[in-house]
Order: sequence, then C-alpha cells, then structure tokens
Amino acid sequence: MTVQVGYDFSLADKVAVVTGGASGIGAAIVDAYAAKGATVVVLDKAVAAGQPEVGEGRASAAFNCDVTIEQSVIDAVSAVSAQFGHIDVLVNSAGIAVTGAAEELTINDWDQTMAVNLRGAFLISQHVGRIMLAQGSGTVISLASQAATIALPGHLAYCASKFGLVGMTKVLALEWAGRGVTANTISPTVVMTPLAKALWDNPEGDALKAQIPTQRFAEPEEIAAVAVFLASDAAKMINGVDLLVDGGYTIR
Amino acid sequence: MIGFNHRPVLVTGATGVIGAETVRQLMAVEADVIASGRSEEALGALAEETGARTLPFDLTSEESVRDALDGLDIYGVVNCGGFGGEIATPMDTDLAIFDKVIAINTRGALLVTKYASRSMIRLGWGGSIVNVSSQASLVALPGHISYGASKAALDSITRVSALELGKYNIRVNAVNPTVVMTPMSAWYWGRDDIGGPFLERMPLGRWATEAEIAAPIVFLLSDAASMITGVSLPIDGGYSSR
Repeated sequence: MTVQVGYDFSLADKVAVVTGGASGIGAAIVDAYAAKGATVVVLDKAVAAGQPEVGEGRASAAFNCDVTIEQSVIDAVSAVSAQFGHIDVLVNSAGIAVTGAAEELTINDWDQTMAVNLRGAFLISQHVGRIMLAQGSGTVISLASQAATIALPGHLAYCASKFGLVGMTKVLALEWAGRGVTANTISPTVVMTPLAKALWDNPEGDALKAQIPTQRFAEPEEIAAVAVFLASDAAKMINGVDLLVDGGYTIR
Repeated sequence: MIGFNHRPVLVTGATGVIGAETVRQLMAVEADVIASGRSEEALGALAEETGARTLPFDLTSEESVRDALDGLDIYGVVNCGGFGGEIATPMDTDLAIFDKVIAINTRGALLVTKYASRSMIRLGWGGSIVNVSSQASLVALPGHISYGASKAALDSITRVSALELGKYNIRVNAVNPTVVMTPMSAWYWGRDDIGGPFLERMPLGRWATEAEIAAPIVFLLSDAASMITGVSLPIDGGYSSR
C-alpha cells in the first residue's frame, strides 16, 4: 500500500468541521486549516442561528450549534453535509473549565463540564463519525488537556472530563480505524488565549510556568500547528494517540 | 510552517530504510542534512542520491562520537541508528546480544545526545532532538526482550533530556513506530503466524510505510512542534492504545 505523504502538511481538498471554532484555540485552528487549503466549517454556540458568520477567520461557513443538545448537533451536521457533501476532519474544540476545590464544587459545575467537554464531544463525534464511516475515511481530533494525564488542583470536573475524552478517543480509534477513520487527542498545557491570559496572569500562573521544562505557556498557533499535522496525510499511521503539547510539564 | 532554512540536522542510521527516508524528507524542506552511519560506501550512495553531507562514525565508541561531533554546528538530531538484536525468550536470551542492543540503541543515542547537546547549547540557537524508539517500548511484544528494554530506556533518556535541555530551548522527543516491512524485517514479520495475529491486534491493521514514520519525525524536528517536548509519539495504527 502506497501512501502519499505531503512534506508541507497540505489540507487541500479536505472539509474540516471545528466545534468551538468561533474563539480561542478553535479559532486558531480554523485560521491554520484555511491557510493550508482546507474548507473549514465552524460549529459554535456563539454563531447566531441560521446566520452563517465567518468573522475574522477564514471559515467557509458557520452554523449555530450547542454540542450538549443532540437535536442541535443533528441539525448542524446535516447542514454541513448538505452544503459540502463530505467531512474529512472533525476537531472537537468546544470546551469549558470550571474550577474550584473538590469539596466545594457544585453538581451544576460537574454536570455542565461533563455536558460540554464529554457529552458534546461524543454527540458530535457520533454524528460526524457516521458520515465518515459511510465515506470510508476521516479523522477525529479532540482537544483534551495535560489535565487528562495528571492532576491539576481545583480542576476536579475538568480533569475527569478530559480523562474521559481521551478514553472515548481510544475506543473510537479501536472501533473505526479498520473502516478508515482514525481518532487522536491533542493535550496542551495552558494556552495563551485571551481567556487564559486573564486567568493565569498572576503568581499562580508564574509558579505553574516555572514547572514547565520549556518555561513558558503555549500559544494558540502552536496548538493549531499540531492540529494541522494530525489532520494531514503525514499522520495517517497515528491513531489512538494522546499527543501532549505541554512543554514537558507532564514528564516531571 | 515546515522549513528548516538550511539549519544543520544530524541523522544517524541514515542508510537504513527509515533513516534514508528521513534524510530525503529533510532535504525536501531545506535542512542541511548530515547523514551518519558506519558504512562510508552506503553513505556515499545516499549522498549522491540526496545531496546530504556525510559523517561516518561508530555509535558504540565514545571516542568516535566525540571526535565526529566535537565543534560541529548542529541544530537538530535524529537518533535513528539501531540494531534489532534477536528474537528470544527471557529463558534463552543471549546476554552478549542484549549488551550489543543496549550499546547501539540506548548508549549510542545517549552518546550522540551528550556531544550534540553541548554544541547546541554553545550555539544558542535552541534545537530539536528526535529519538527513534519503538512500539516495543510501550507494549510487550513476544521475543523482544532486549530490543524492548533498549527502547524503553531510550524513552526515559528522552524525558530526562527534555527536562534538562528545556531551558536552552532544546526539545527532545521520541517516535515509537510499528513495523515497517523491509527486506530486513520480512524474515520475521513476513511470517503468516507472526504478522497475521500482529495486524489483527492493530486497529489500523496494516504495516507502516517509511514515509509515514519519517513525516512525524520531521514534524517533531520542526518549529510546528515548538511546544512539544518529552513525548513518546506512537506511530502504530493504534496498537498500543488498546
């Protein structure tokens, strides 16, 4: 079997769906994918219903989607399928972080975290996965976290949801690879989105940074570059992997 | 995103199947490749084909590695020199072969890391090292008693080196490939009773091509992986994830 591997990680002719693509890491992935020639579709709660809005990015289309609600997912995936015919790459980037001491965390915090980070990723992966299995090709890339490998204080629900996401991905990798669909996770350290800058620009952030072997946090573009690689034909043999992009934080 | 701007990258084991393909892919993204191996003749053929520089040395000799790398300007390293050793049970393994496997796969990679990282720190450019480990370091494979140990130790060297060299902006990672069917591996993996059950256990269910191993190596070497360090990246079709 001959597999063509592009040296420049081209995504030409690929249709990519990015959840949470309106902001943060998702938006950086949208830009990077578009720059590599992909047709990019954003699914995001922040996109007004029925109003394709491509914003500053270079997405070809955007649809309103609440990943926690199955009907919303079905509607959005149907709309993508109707407009573009096939889906080659799914990026699960929609996610939330609610922090607090384990003994204080509310059940609502737990439920909300699980609903977006885990239930949402499952729903989208299942519905997009059915399309990929029918076409016999595709790849699912989910944004997990270094918190899917190690404990972070105050991140009980977040860690649990991201460990779950990695587990889900490994089962997708096992069940679907034989039918042409691979699945992997990307697990960043703190990524300097506007939201994270507000959260970590303090002594706690400095202390965390000091423990990272590269001694800095990641930039959104660095995560997007990894997402480009995993979506490209250069990563055809990579399946069921949790790729840490953490400057070495978890090896210590 | 990918481009090396003629930065010098050393590839050991460059005359092997994975090493040679890595040299080709690095030349395609304009790295200044220094191809290393033991055989000057095989290196000469590779240089003629690809235009890479050559630097023969013996991975098992500290003197040979030191003499070759001392003062050499280096940005990147691919530790691809390896020795398969034997297929043996723990009851029957030949310890002389174990010692040789460790000497090449583990000690050899550490020797190159030792002298290359000194140059990288001296130059202050940062840098990237990729160690070619194996799926055999992540899961137990029958018969791989010494090979698996040599690669698991290499993964550990990868992590400690990543920890120590991070402050110099030098990243150190491993790739952990599954089997590439080559004339050298066919005698074992090409057997129906060995290859068949192996592929059945792998979700993707096929052998890797050398291009599919070289591409992630080039990715990890490049600036596209600028925040990745200390990882062991399986390229195994999902074999080790189940």
